[in-house]
Amino acid sequence: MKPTEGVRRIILERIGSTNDEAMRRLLAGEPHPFWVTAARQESGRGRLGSTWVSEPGNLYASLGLVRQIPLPILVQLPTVAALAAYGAVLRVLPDTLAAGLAIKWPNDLLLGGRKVAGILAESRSLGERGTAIVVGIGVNCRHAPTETRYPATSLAASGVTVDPDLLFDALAGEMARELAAWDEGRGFQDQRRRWNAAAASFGETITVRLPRETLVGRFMGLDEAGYLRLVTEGGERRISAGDVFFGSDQQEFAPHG
Amino acid sequence: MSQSKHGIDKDLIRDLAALLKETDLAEIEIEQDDFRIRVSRGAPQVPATFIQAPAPAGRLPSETKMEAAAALEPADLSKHPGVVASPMVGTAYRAPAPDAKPFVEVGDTVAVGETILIVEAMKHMNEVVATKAGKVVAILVEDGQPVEYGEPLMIVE
Repeated sequence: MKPTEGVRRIILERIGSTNDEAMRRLLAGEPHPFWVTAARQESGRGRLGSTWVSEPGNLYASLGLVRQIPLPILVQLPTVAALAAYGAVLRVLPDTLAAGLAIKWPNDLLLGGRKVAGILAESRSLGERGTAIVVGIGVNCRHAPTETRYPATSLAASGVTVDPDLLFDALAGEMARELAAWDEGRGFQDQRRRWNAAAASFGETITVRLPRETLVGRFMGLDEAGYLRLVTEGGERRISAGDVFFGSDQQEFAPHG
Repeated sequence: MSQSKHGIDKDLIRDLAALLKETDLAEIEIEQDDFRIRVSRGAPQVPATFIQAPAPAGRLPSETKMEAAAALEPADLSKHPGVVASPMVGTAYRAPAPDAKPFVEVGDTVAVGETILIVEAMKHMNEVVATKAGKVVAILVEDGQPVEYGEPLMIVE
């Protein structure tokens, strides 16, 4: 049996945002899980209103599902998805480039130190029916945006030509396997160790720009619940949201680039 | 941790609210380091205001308003029947984007299912929705503030 059996796929030529479309379908009560993919997004979104440049030739895919498990466990899903995206991209990379692929907290993929993929998960309570959750994954296959908050690249820039549809098949397969391994949180500790092994700059100094402060410290990976562990001069901090930069010097970027 | 540099000291507000009751004062204002807090009695549903003191000269004052439930019982807000508690450890946002209009303000009427806040952890954005219709009488978090699991975020009555 294929790992993706029973998962629907909605293929669109263009859509505002695959995440919005997936959430709309979940709220309308459509059978799940399903994937929504689009050849291009007209208003692709990143975190907190930032835009996700969505030219044709890249992969834009959102997984939609409903789960009756507590949010503190459901919050692990984008970390699980990062492992799936890591596995899928690794499958299309030649051996010479594989060592250059890494996960940047919380769930971006870096290739040669530049962002090649990103994840944005969104959820909403359905009351007694559980929680609707959408995990959107974008991979820069052919096109890399410029003027981003963090420098970006594409697989093509490294000489890797990948059809987004073929990458999607790999992603859907990896995601199905990771979801089974996650087992609604019971398998998360093993995934957390694999995440830490794939993380960029583990044990090194990083800068984390939080909404209200900026911290510098030693990056100690994920804690048992999936939050970032940062050992600062003032003690260990547990971080839920922020932009990570490597080293102690913070580069300056346009606020909403 | 009840107080952080940019957060709000809820214990302090509770103490001030209790003191207000005890002393029959109309208003108490305290200024400390870089913040100033004022708790006033007012009409039953007038919230206290939390005003960040102007920054030292040379910088623009970044005024942050914080509405606290001083007009409500100063007892543990998490036991308030209208409390909206944080569904997870995360970072709370009052608006969908840094420059956007907040989802709700104190005094707004909300309908069931309306998004009132977002809590983020690991780029998982959870829309916190109103589970009952009513009026927002207190907002207990600032935009971008870290929140604990079960921490009171808002009071809807």
